[in-house]
Amino acid sequence: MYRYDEFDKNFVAARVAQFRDQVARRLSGELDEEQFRPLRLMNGVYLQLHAYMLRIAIPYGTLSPRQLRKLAFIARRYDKGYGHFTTRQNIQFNWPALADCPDILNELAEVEMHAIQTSGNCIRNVTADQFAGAAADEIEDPRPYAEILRQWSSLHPEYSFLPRKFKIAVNGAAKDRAAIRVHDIGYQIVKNADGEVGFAVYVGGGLGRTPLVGHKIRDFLPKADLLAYTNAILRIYNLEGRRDNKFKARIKILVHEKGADVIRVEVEAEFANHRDDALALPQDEIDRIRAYFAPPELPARATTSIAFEKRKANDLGFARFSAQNVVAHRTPGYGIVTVSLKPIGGIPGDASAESMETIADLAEAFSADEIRVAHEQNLVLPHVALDDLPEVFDRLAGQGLATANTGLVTDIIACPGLDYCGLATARSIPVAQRISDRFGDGARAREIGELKINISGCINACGHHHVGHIGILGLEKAGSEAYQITLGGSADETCNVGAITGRSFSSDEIVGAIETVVDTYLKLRAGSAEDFLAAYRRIGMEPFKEALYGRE
Amino acid sequence: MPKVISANRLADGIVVYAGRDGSWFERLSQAKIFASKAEAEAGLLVAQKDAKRNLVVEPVVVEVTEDASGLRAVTLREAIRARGPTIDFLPRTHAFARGADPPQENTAKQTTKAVLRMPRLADAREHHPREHEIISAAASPMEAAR
Repeated sequence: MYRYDEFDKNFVAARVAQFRDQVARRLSGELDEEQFRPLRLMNGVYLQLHAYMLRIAIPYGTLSPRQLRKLAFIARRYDKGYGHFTTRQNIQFNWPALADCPDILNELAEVEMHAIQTSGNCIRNVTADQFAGAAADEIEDPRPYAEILRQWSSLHPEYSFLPRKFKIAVNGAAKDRAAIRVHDIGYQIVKNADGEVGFAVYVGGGLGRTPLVGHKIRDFLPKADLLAYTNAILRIYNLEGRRDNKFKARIKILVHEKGADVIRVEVEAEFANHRDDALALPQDEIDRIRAYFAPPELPARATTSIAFEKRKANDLGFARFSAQNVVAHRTPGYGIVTVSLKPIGGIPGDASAESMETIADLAEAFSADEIRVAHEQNLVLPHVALDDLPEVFDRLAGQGLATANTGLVTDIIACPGLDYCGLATARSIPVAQRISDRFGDGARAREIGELKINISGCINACGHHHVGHIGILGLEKAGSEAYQITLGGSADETCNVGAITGRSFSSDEIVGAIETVVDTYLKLRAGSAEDFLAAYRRIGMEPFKEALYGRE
Repeated sequence: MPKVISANRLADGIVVYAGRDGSWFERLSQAKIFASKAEAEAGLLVAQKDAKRNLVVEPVVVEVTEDASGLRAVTLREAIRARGPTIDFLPRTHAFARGADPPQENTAKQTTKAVLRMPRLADAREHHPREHEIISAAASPMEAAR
């Protein structure tokens, strides 16, 4: 993975010192809240309902064991013993004291981490497929390009005060695991007719109060032009994006209002004008960054692991875990293991310090020192030998971390909601917990098969409800929580915004309503091979409406 | 409707309420009650001075009801601010562990190095599942207000 050089180290250290001074001046009264707020936000410090919240960047969701242990240490030393992994592959701590934040950032700097650009109208953490560099279906590892974008965009003077925040995702396989079409820019690594690898460019996707799917504005962008093209898009956005209305300030609105074809022409013109500028990426620089992400040297193994097959044959729990949470690695004899942070009835994305340490230990012993954060709020051990899988499973199970529910009805994405968030209009986590308890991890969940339920506690859609196969949006209606259901959303390469079923449901009704939707699917599907999304796409909204509302 | 003044403490962000003696307390039960809108607005002006003195941030007027069991915030948002998350958020890794020792007292209490400028009372937002249930139960402040 990427290692800081002297420049990076000094840059982050200087930033910590600067923030330490800013916090001291705030606490002494030299700065008032109005002056200080933008400064703390630039360092990832929000003020939530109960306390400050610190959001820490995890670039493209890649962590080393040392970094994860540091997060565990911070959780214990400065917080309440846990952290929350987010839908943008970051981690949030919910209870840090402001006065401790400079020390926390100093601890993070020791392991080459920071909280820069995790808030504000700038280019945020660049995200990527959590299986990057390991997936069998990958064209090329997206992380070197995410890292190049990260370096280029860090404190970029032209893009530190954009009309609104700006999110970029890069995906390296045909299967989109990075939700690139709901990002401001989505880069999809593709191979052209000449066998050259580059990017298809999507622009103007996003969720929030106006969910829009990104438009492809270029079929093939050579790697050398990655920064020049990104720069062209940002220039157009920075000039033309609306600053008069916060709710219409994202690039998706600009693309939507002007039309993708117009934006394409403008971006291409800007790109053509500046293509030969200093932004062309030299091949040796690409190679230098790629070297940091060189695949780990995995000892050759037999394609079939006897230890793995034997355990699978004798232990149903292990067999289910392997079927649900382990996917093919590109190296024979290895698998990619998703560690679910969705225990049945648990809080989606939360991990205790102990869990983090267990996973860090396992990554060190069995996964080539790598951990990934999935945007679905799970952790991933990307390089596990199938021979080692029984031991990895046992150690995960010993910590309650072996829930075999990846991609199932209980693998729910949920934002923090009104339990923590100052923006929320309703709670998300308790709804996720009740749905999880209702379906459990037994035969019923397996019978339902792949089903993504995403829950947001307000219209800002941090819980990606628009792109859940079933989405739940928590609202406030006459002083009470109300939950709107959407169906048919998807965040992958078949990206789609879900459609609203109709009137909302009360907190008491919502779990039953979700059950009605699921039961309707089970009744109408064309066999168990047809998953929820496929069935919805075939039969449409009507049967679900009928089941939910009858003759209302 | 009776009102209290709430804010977040500057140094650590913890929810506090303006008390009768002019200091800030972590418990809603210790808040000074303002009977009218005019009184609450006067109270808010005083609180804003404490914001200027860098004790608290973003003081606001919060509507409450008072019954035999004490003060309750009217809105769900304020009820959650007063009592903490309604979920069992503190980790209990040991409770999951196979054959591990029984769950230990959670040691995750914040041991902040922050220099706190106000007395740190017992944290009303520590882990009290039963209190949390009250928020979602039928007799919750939100329900009562309907």
